[in-house]
Amino acid sequence: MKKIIFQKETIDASKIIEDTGSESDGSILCFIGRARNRSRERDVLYLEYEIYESMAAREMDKIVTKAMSGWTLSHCTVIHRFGPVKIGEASILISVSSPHRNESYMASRYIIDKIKEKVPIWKKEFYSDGSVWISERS
Amino acid sequence: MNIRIKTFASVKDICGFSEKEISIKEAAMVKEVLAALNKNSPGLQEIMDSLLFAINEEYCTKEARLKADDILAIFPPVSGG
Repeated sequence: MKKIIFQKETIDASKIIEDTGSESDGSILCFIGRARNRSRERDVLYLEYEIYESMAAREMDKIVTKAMSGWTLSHCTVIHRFGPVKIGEASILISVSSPHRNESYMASRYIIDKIKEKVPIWKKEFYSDGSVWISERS
Repeated sequence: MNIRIKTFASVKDICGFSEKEISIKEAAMVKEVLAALNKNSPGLQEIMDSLLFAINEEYCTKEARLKADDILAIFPPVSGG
């Protein structure tokens, strides 16, 4: 089962984890990417994400489908925020479940790496004296 | 023929629009559209080599040819996550 969601609202991680997995899964792995307060030696006030939503949905679906066929996952949920994201809030959550932990770790790593490479979403960092679109992968 | 251009992030800031319809010659390549855009938005030149493109929501190269009513998206490297 796969679920891909783009939302403006904050992410309720405990609810997603609760909804991930089945009784045959020995592993549920949840990765959360958070907005941090320092970047490129500057204090960050908040982030804003822009998304090309229809294309992002297609690219995300390709990534999740490939992960689910490459590893034995029974469940995969990916949620990405758009719009403003406060410091400390989750910008992305990836929750996967599988019978054994190795598949969960491998798939989760694959999914986040591919999102950072392929899914048309852009981050803007806001500082006290301006803002910058972040383009390089980090 | 007409196509729609969509821009995102820094490309949108440089071009000054997020979406617009333009008229181009039949089977024009993406790079020809870019050259035309660059005339009105010279700032594009600075990030030209890093730009990514998609036609109808599928990644493509600068050499891809356009058809009538295509949607061409132009954007910088992605930075989600």
